[in-house]
Order: sequence, then C-alpha cells, then structure tokens
Amino acid sequence: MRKSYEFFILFIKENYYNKMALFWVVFIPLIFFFINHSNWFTNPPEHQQAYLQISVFWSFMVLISAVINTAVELFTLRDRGFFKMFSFIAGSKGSIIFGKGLANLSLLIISMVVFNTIVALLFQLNPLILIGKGLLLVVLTFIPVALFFSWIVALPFKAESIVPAFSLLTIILLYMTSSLTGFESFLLLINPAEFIVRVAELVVTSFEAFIYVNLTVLSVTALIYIMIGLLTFKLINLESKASRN
Amino acid sequence: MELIDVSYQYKKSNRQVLNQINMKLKHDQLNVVLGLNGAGKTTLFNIMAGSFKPTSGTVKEAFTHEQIAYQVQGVPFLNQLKGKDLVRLFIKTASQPFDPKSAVFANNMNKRERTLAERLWEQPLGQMSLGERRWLMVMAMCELDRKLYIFDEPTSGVDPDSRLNVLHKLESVALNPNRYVVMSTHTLQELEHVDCHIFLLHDGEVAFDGTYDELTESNKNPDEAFRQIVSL
Repeated sequence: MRKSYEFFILFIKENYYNKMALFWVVFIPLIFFFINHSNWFTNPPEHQQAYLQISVFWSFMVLISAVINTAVELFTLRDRGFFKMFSFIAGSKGSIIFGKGLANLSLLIISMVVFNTIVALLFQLNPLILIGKGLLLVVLTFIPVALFFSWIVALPFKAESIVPAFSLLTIILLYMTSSLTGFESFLLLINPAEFIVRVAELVVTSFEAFIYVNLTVLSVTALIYIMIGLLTFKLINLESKASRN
Repeated sequence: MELIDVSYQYKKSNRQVLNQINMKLKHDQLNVVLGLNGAGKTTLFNIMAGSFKPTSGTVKEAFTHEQIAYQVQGVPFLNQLKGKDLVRLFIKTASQPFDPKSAVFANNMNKRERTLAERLWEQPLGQMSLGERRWLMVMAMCELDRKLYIFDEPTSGVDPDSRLNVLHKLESVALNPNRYVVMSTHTLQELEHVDCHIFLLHDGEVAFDGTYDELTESNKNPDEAFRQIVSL
C-alpha cells in the first residue's frame, strides 16, 4: 500500500500539472454540453430528462478517464521505460498500476464535482443530486472499464500513434451506444460505453427501471471486464513493443 | 553472476543478437559493457535482469526481481518534481526509509556530493541540467539495497565532470563484495579513471574481456583500440 501511495502522489502531481488530463475530463464535456444544450437557458427541460441528458456526458468523462488518462497513459509509461525501471525498484508492477488508477479516479471524482456544480448552478438543478448520481456512476463503472481497456497497454505501437487513435475510439464507442437497444444485445459486452450508459440510466432513474435481469447482465459484464483486466495485467510484458529501453 | 553459452534471438528475426557468449561479472569492480549501437548490450542487460529468457544457455547465480535495480535510458519525469521528490520516489517505492528534511540521503557522501545534493534538493527537475538529473537518479538508485545494479548508459549526454561523478559513485557501490554493478557506455575515455572490467560485445560475441589497461595496451587511444577490435 505504501508503494502504491508513492506512485499515487507522483501521478496526482502529474495530473495537476498536465493540463491535458483536466482538459479531456472537464473542459471537453463542458464545451460539448453547452454547444448541445444552450437552449436550456431559455427552455429548461424537466429534471429527470435533464439528468438523462447530462448522464451521457458523465459517461464520456468516465470513458475518457479510463481509456486516455489510464490505459493509454500506462501504455506511455511502458513505452518510455518507467514501468520497467520501477517494477524492479518496487518489486512488482501492481503498485504502479494501482497508483495510476487511484490518481485518475481522484481526478475523475474532482472533475465530476466541478462539471456538475457548474451545470447545476447554470441550469438551476440540484447540485447535490447531480454530484451524488455522477459519483455513484464513477464508483460503479470506472474500475471495470479501466480494467477492460488494459489490453491497450500491450499494443505493439508507439505512444504518439495511439493517443489520437484512442481519442477517436472513445467518441465512436459513445456514438455506437445510441443505436442500440435492449439488454440482451451482446454489444453490451464488447462496447464499454454501452455498459456505462446503461448503468448511468439506472443511476439517473434511481434504479426505478431496475429489473433483476438488467442488473445481472450489468454485474456479469462488470465481472468479465475486471477479469480481463486482472488477467491482462498479470500477463503483460514490461518491454515496449515499439521502442527499446 | 555468470553467463554460460548464452544465445538470444528475437522472434521474427533471423539474426542471433547474442551467440553463445560467456561472461563472468566481477565483484569489487565496475563491470562495463561496450559495443556498437545494436550490438546487444540492452538485450544482455535484459537477460541478466531476467526480463528476457535466453534462447539457449544458462545464467548462473541469477537474481530475483527484488534483488535487482535496473536503470533504463531516458525515463522522463515531471519537470515540476523537486530533487527530493525524485529521491523519495526511488527510495520509498523500494520500501526503504527516507527523511525529506535531509539532503544527505546517501551513505558516505563526500563534501562535493553533499553540496550538490543540498543544492538540488529543493530544485525542480526542469531547472536541473541533464547531468545533475542523471547524477541524482544514479545516487538514488545506488541507495537501494540490491545485489545487482544495471545502468544502461548512465553517462549518456552528460558533461565530463558529471560523468566522472556518476562513475565514481558506481565504482563505490561496486566495492561492496555482495554486489555486482554493470553499466554500458559509448564514452571510453572516462573509464581510465575508474577501476573497471570491460566486456566488448561485437557480432553477438564477447570480442574483448579485460581491464582498461589491457584494452589500451596496443593503442593508448581507447576509441582507436575499440575500433581495431570491432573492425577485425
């Protein structure tokens, strides 16, 4: 735990000084939110409808945090030799991964509070409800989704080439969710954005749309994501596939 | 630590990077691996560290992950980190005690090292020279209690004065009989000032195995001596 804490401190500092991390998780969703919902100033929707619309942006925040800020960042750490050097120093790679995950979870929590506070104040929504629901979504989805994307770390490419590719991928994954219906769709399993959006729907409706089948599907999906991540991180090679270090 | 008939070939490559090499690391001396770019120095280090499994051959007295400190080339750190933050990261992630108030974090620091450490302690990495950053990293790495220390080009891009500081630090760690220290370099002149044992890799083999004096026996210029061996 002590080792993870040290890595957590390092990555928190990186998050603080790296403005891009905040840009992706807070400013991009805010900008798109205002572009899409500027009419709310004159024509505000009813609360439940507003929460549903806002939850799409929460989903984006969770997804971008899991893909870009966590999995792609871990890939970069491996590509630059950090992973290798510190796995020898710390004795294992687990503490580095845990520290990184925890730092990004913290960033996501702060981002969620900032985003929801701004939206609530501007559109006269209850900030506590918004923040509470947003944080519940983070707790339920961030860890499984971040673990699901652990395969990114094993890719045989250079860091510079994968960042733009995965930024685009997150948008495509979110776009694909809108065309799907029904919990029985197998795409729920292979599109984590779909998983986040479905959990967000349950969170927003305060689990009123709750049925055991849905919950079972989501729980099994989360478990599969977690298992994929744990297995990948166990098998992952510390050597960069594209750079020598 | 001894490598016996060790060979290594990368998958999807028909070139044998290391071809049945034999080498025995020396205690009490700094072990230096030389070679042209692509000669297999980093591959050799990865085999020593256990990151790569040799295609054939054995590594005698191999160490576990926890017994090794392996400094790889060019790991970037956040410019805003201070000297003490970097040292803390190395020491505390290795579960060793660390006092953030004391810049004298290493045992047996001489006066010059103390002065430099005190100056760098509160200074952000972004304001340090490359040599200062390297020196600080090497110092922190040397504080780890390990059996095998591997440094991949620790003096690369470093000015002559800082290079000597780094080398003398590595030399002092190598004096401990329970430790092996191995490094690679392309700057041969600096080796004159340290007690080292040289292994020169060429064409997948150890083309030279001996001291600096033996290397420069026929030609006092080490670069020329090196060139003669690799052009044979």
